[in-house]
Amino acid sequence: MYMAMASKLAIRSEHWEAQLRKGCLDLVILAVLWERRLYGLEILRELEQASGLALAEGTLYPILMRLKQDGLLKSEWVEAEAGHPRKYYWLTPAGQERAIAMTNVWEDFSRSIARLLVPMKRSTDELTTTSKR
Amino acid sequence: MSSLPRVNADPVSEYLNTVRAGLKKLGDADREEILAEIRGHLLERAEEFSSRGFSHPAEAAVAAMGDATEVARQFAETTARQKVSRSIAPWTLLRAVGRIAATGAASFIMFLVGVVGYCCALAFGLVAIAKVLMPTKVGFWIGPHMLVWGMSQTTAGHRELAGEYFIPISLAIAFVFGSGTTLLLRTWMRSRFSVANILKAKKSVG
Repeated sequence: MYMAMASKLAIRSEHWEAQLRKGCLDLVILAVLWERRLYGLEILRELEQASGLALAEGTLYPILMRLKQDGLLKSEWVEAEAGHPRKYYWLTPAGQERAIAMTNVWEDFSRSIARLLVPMKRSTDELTTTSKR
Repeated sequence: MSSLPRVNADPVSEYLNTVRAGLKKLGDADREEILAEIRGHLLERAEEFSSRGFSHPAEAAVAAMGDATEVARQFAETTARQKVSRSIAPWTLLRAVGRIAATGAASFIMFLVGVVGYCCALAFGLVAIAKVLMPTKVGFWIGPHMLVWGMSQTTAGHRELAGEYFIPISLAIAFVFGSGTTLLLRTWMRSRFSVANILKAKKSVG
């Protein structure tokens, strides 16, 4: 019974984490495009390297399409040595504004959450110290 | 668009065919652009996996891409969302809001607002037409215990106040209800799927 409960909790926790990551995708995509023009696979590599955000690769392209529809990104096909053209994306001025606004929201939000977590973290640290003794 | 020679392209073609089948409703140009981007991604990923010594690089690239049907569904949903946010057709808008009405209180309320708004527009439009057909019975009637914008069975003892302005006023109100509801639904649909709704979340958290 405990095993089943633990398994359910693990699944819920994974689901929560997946939702959290999903909610951040727009922001992290805008962030990786802040300085450079990148094509889809490069964006994925940046996400993996910089933030550890590994996602089903196919989900990236509908998001890029939506951000483009919202006027936050522009794109252009560029012939590449690889033998097939690549579609490069970059931020529009509206995309830059949105990225800044989202970053501010993210920072406020994470600070608020961090404040809430302080007592809980303190308690778990104390428990860890006690159990070590 | 040429394929890379060192990787087996069959799983890639199969994957692209599944995505193509899911994008039937899209225009040819849009569909081919999506497929070209995915094809390029898969071929480059397969090449990368091949150089890393994978025994089945194309299969690995396809697996990393995720379920083709789901990818096609996400593209189709994104395209539909764009269509809805640009549409002014009441039926298209109501159908789109109706599809998500069961997902939450806000969606349900917005669906009801849409239905009521368009019904009001229709009702005022219909009474304007009815005024042409039955000019003596339809109007803005006022009398003891009665206030009617439309048709009254008994007009004795009642006064009609709008007169010749009844039709233009009815049409104007119908227009306001119709266009107001359309604007409201479009704005809501856009904001619901936009990253901007994160900004609203800030208020509820802070």
